[in-house]
Amino acid sequence: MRDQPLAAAWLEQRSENLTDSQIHYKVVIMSGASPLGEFEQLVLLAILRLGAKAYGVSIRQEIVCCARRQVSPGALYTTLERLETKGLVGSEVGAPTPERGGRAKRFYAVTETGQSQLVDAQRSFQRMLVGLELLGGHHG
Amino acid sequence: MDKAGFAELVLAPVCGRQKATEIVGDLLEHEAARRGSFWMALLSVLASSLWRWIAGIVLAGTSMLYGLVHYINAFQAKPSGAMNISWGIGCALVATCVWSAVVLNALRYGLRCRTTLVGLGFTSVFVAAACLKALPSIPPITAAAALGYGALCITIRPLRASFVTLIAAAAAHGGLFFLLMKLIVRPPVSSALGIELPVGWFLSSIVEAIVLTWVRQFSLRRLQSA
Repeated sequence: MRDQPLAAAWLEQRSENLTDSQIHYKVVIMSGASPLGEFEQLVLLAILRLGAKAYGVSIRQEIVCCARRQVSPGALYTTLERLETKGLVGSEVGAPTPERGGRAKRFYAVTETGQSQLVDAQRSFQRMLVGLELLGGHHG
Repeated sequence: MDKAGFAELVLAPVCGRQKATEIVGDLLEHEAARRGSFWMALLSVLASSLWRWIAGIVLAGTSMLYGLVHYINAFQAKPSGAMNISWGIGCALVATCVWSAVVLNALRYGLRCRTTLVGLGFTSVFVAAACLKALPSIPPITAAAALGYGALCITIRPLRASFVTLIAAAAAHGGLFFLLMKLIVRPPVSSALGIELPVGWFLSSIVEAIVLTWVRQFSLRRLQSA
């Protein structure tokens, strides 16, 4: 269930010498997927950062710590379900643990499609930043 | 029953038993780490999961008033005492049930979900049949179109799960609504437009949403394991 590193999918796209707009077409439009929302990107990034330890509580904590955003449990589980339905995230059930009353954790991993869409969404932001002097420097 | 058991009981109809158990485990861990109240977290999960169902029920009801009026017409007894279900009314009733499942599914799983698309096809067939009920050749054409479309969905494996989910949800809705209306509505039936109809619609839509969730999960599991 664990996937290749984020860079692999991106390098694969690059090797075909495609422009950014062609990659956007290939990843987003041809696959019929809707563009990722901001919170969906945060969740995908949190899962990638946590690696094999990504489950509901740890994902939420990662977003709170890194993005400094309050995340309601409801929003998180709905988003995880949506990402799973879109095929951007895969999941598997772990072993039951006593501190959870014998209940198992569901561990999440970003799929190859999820990584490609995440990279594409981040590239869109980077393109919008080109020529702007934000974040203390000139982007371009 | 402890609070975890109660939470599982409440969440299971909304997101399935397996997922409910996992979420409750997360909420217990969340509370043990003093990151927030168990009950507030449970409410948040419920609200996030349910608002789409509630919106879907309201949207399906208001967008299919034409079909709902036919439900009332169906209860207008003939002089013989039999129910007044003509060909046109029957098609409108089927279209209303299927449409309700389509709207719920679209709001919960998206417009591009196969079940939504399959359901739109069925709804179109029966709405067209209800509108063209006066034409003499419509009954056989409708029957052939519905049977052909159903056979196509059953033959193509990815569509089979969507078809089964849709039919189960629509049948649960129609069956329960009809039963409720038979029990509740008393002549004159036009008075049912006041309170009985919306209440009956709401209750049967809730059951429909639960059936939709469960059958969808079951069908998808079967599809993945095949």
